[in-house]
Amino acid sequence: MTLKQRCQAGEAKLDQVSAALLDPRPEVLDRCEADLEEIIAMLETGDAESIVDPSADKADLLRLRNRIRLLALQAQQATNLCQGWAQLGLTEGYTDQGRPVLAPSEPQASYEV
Amino acid sequence: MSGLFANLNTSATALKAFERSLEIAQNNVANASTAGYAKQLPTLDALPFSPMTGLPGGVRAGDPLSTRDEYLEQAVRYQTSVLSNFQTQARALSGIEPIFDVTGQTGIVAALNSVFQSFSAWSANPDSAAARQDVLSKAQDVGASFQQAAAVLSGVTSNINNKIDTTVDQINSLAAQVRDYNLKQSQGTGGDAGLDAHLHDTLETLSGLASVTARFEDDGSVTLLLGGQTPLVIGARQYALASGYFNSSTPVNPNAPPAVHILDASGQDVTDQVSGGMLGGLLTVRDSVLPSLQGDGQQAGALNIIAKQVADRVNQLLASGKDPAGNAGLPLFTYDASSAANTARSLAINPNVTADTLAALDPGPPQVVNGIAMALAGLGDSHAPADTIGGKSILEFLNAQTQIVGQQVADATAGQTIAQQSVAQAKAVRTQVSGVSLDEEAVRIMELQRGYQAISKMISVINGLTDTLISMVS
Repeated sequence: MTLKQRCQAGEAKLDQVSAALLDPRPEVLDRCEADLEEIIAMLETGDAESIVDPSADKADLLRLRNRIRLLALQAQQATNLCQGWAQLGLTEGYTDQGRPVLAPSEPQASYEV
Repeated sequence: MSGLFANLNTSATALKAFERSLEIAQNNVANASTAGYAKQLPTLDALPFSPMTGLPGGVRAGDPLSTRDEYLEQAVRYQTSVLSNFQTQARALSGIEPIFDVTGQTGIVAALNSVFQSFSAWSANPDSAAARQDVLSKAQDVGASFQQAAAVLSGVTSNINNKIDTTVDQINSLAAQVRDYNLKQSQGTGGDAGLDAHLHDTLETLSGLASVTARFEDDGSVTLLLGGQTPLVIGARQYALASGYFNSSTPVNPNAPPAVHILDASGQDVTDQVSGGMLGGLLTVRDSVLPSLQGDGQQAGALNIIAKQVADRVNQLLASGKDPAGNAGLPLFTYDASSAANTARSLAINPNVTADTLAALDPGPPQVVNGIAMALAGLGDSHAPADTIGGKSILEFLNAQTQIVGQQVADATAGQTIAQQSVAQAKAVRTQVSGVSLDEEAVRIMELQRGYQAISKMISVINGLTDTLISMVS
């Protein structure tokens, strides 16, 4: 498999992952991880012999990297969204400074050894 | 007997409670496709049960619980605002991009390349009438291309001005709806799920127009702020926005298009607070991108700088030469020098110049018969201090502007793609977590967060691998 073919296959898989990330279900996210593992395996096997046309390959790789960065932003955005929600869900909102306010709880007895 | 009445009473309360639950379920079904509607959950409150004191127990209908989660609503609104901003910028910039054709086949780039080629052909045959006529014809094209570019920018400016006015009106109209909601809340006629749905739909539409923050107050009213600072609605009062066209300081360039300002209800300039939404996108293009190209009260703009440099240098070189009759050369270009922001739109060929009055001869010493024509042929790429703009040759400067506009379009398009995904994602998460218990919500959201984090790590591994491969082929 040439580097160009790897880039094209990788880009196609990244598009799949990007679309799948819009369906936030744990089983879908698991499938995304499997797809990303495939991309890693594909890129890891890249060696000097797979390079056919360095300048064309470089253009393909730069396009692939651009696509990866967009996906990284998408995943980061999703993580931030969940993190913010979890923080808010477990607390009582935010202070004016943007810090989470912990939900007050009744003092409880503890047993220490 | 008291036991029998107590039992009957308990059954009646329970029936009422279940009737209320059915009403809520029916309302959910009826509003399933209402924009902004969030499912309501019936709640049942246990009644005190104490046979000794005659309290019969049972259940009664509690206040319906909305599954709406304000954090996720806010996330959707924020992403909608970002998306709308990028969409607006991409749309507006796509009207400007053709002026700076990256292929060099059309527009100013093509016209300048052609005129420099015609100078080159003239320098090879300084006495050729056809070559001289071609110089005139190509110079005319240069003037026309600058005028056309200025007209396009002017058209885009008017179009954006209209859109800004319309958007401000829309924001005021939507803010009025939020004020009406607050009025109903204060009159005790609020608390209706349909009204709540309408409010959230209004807020989502508003977030597409500007960066608006909605704060839910304890009395049930909504405080609406522009950019988190300027009040649009507080309780039952609305503070309307307005758009104004004026220069903040005395303009250096008369007749240049004035900047657009957004004013709050007291006439204060709050333009800086408009960062997102359609209005933010329009203001970015109108007050930042367009002035950098067509100029404003304070700056000349890249298009006028290039037009002036081309005209001035061509005219200076021709004036230093001699025509075939031995007369000093006439200037080839004319433009309105009264305003630096007016050069491109007024650039034209000098009506007094003819093919015979073009001065190819450099009197020297030493005298060179095609000296001026040769200097003109090399003008586009010349790095002589008098020929450059900010250290760049004329064509390099033009190329840099083409790249800047191209990059702005690419950034807006990429931002639009990301924001589209983010909106879809925020909406998908909202759908996923709505309608389940808070505990379930917390478990689900944490599971999703772990999944997204794992994916982020794998993406960074792929990014590293790609970097390694790029360095291999470089």
